[in-house]
Amino acid sequence: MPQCQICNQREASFFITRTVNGQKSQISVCRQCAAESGMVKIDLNNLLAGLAAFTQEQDVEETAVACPKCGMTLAAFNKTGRLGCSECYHTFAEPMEHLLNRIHGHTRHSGKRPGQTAEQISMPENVMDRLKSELGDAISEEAYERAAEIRDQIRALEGSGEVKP
Amino acid sequence: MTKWYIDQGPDSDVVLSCRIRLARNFAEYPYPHQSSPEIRKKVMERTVDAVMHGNSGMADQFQFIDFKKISTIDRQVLVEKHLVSKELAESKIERGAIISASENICIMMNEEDHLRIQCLGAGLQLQNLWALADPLDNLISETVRYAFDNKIGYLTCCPTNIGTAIRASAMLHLPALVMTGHMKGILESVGKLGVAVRGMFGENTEATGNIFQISNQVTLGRTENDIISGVQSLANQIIAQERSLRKELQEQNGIRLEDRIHRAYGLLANARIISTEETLQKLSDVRLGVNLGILKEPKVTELNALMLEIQAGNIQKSTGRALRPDDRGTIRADIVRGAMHGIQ
Repeated sequence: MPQCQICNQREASFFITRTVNGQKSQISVCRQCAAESGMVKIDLNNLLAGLAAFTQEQDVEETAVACPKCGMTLAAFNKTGRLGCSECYHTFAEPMEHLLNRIHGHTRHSGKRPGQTAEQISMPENVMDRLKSELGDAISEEAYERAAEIRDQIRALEGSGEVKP
Repeated sequence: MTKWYIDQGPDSDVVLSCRIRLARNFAEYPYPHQSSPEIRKKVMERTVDAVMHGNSGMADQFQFIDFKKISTIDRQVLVEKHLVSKELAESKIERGAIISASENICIMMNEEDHLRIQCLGAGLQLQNLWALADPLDNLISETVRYAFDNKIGYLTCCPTNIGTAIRASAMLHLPALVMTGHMKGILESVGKLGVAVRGMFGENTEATGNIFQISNQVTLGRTENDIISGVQSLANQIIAQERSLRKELQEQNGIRLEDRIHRAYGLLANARIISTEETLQKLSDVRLGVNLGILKEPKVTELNALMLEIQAGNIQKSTGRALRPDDRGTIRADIVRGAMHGIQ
């Protein structure tokens, strides 16, 4: 995996082609630098509603973010609604999260995992694991109201005696 | 043994069949449309290995079908039996299916996702089908590393399937709801509940013969069991409405309803050339007549068999050659007359 050309530290996950005044140039950047520099601004809010969603069309500057594994771009995804590989979900993590929330009203999986039977999902230990990881997410996203709800659920589960705290 | 697509199951006066479908992908390969032919072949080989040579104890009841090696008519027959999608039949890439002897399990390979594990059954019995699909999914995951993310679950080619990647669906025959003009309201209200209503052959198909497919839309953020019971309970509500409207029609408009049913029967018993669409429309009336006891025969299982026999692919399969639509129409009429003959 190539290195980010801005911080020269992290792995690059975006390969951006820029066209400035007709001159094409390529740059590899990591997710963090891409976000900080404002290079990647993708609006998928209108996607699947049949509206033009790719807001990067500017006369002066065009950027195309491509998945490092399969080469899929958001422009291509917008046309077909199909991603190229599983890595695409990480490459386009931020716009995908918005999109998933719009489609499903959720952004977090709560069903089975590979090799797990459906019955195991509802076992108290597994529910506890899921709640704890959701709590971590909520705190890191500074969603304190949701974090408090999850904390209450964890306490209730501990209080029920079904799992050890 | 009677195949599920002919058999009668729970609530079979309204529900023809139901299905559980899981979308799964190999972690290391791009999705089929983005893969090389070699990778697509590998997906099929490895899945065949996992299912047919695994420790399942059910290896010998499966058959692998390479879609590049069978005829267009054979592929169409599989679509008409609802075993595979039109997309899989018509696509040009390396693709295939693993089908169980009783045809109640079918794994599509290299459709939109690497794998689509499907379990099918007569009537409304989604929980039973899940009990079949879940261990089969686990069996494959013993040798195949699935594309799975801790946060967003099973990764799929289209974000609409992500998470559990489960689709629970039921095929409902709703003549009374259509006749009384209530279907539009149903379509609107189920849409709000995250359930989609489609025609008989899934996405982008029309509801011919008053047959509708309902299925969950949301796949992320809920457990498989929640999703399945959601579809099940919505189906139960629609079934209850359909039954009560049928009763109402019979009580308040008895002679008109009987007239309609006998006319449909008369047409089917006498037609000399007929299209699939007209046959399905009239069969809907006949089925309603049988359900309400207005007609004593044919049996529901005979009607189910007929619905399959009159489709273009099946007609050409049984005559052993490709036929023009007009020729199919006359053969179809012969089949239908044969089935109606001697009844009443």
